[in-house]
Amino acid sequence: MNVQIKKFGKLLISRPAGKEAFAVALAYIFPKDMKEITLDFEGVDVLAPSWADEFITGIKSNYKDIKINFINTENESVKVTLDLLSSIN
Amino acid sequence: MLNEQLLKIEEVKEVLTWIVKPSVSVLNTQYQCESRDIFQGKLDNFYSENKNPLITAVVGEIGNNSFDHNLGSWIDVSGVYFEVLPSHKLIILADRGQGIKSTLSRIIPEIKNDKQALEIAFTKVISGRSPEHRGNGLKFVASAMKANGFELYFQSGKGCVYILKDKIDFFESDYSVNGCFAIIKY
Repeated sequence: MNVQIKKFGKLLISRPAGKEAFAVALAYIFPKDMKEITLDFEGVDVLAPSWADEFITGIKSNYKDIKINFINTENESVKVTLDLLSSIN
Repeated sequence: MLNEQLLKIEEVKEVLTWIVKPSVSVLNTQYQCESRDIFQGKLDNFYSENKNPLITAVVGEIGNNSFDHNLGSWIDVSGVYFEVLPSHKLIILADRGQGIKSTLSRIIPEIKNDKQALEIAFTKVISGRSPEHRGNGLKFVASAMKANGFELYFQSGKGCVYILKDKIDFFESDYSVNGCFAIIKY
């Protein structure tokens, strides 16, 4: 499935906000069984690792062996955040 | 050295004088963000004015760290001090929280001093909020600084870090900061 991250906000900064976004997505957006997801960052102004970590780690721990794709990651804050997260996971 | 020049700026001196005092009240209500919501609102304004995603993420990460690690543990004043000096292209952030060494010592008790605590916080992936192991905020800050030529002076206790481009220096100050104090030149 494809998720437009901008629908959670344009400035995605804090850990509690990331946790809340994941909880809402889990309840209302993500299917119960999911093998692959595409996170689309088009339209996101600012992404910080605290928010992204809560959201992405939430997906990984709830859907084992899921394949996560990232698209429209040209924004500098998106790029540096995803580079960092991929280097530590 | 850049940090010496920065520390001569009147607004910076004022915050530094405040943060080293053992006991204080709010320095300036205009810049003190007592809650995360207030900080987020000011950060939204900051982004609207400068349109720089990376520096906004850096400020967001440092400011939110204040709340992530210090809710309920402030020395006296709650929240984070966040002031932008557009004429100097400078940002001041300060909190009267536990500081980096105290936060990290809960999961790495062998940390010897403030400088070592900063070295771990800025270069190792670790969380001060055990049992979470997701800490990477200050490592992100270091990456962003290095990649974009911003400058950062950060102090907690007597430990200091100065980052400019590829250079990252850790050293000790002769005075101690209560909580954390950061200056970013963008």
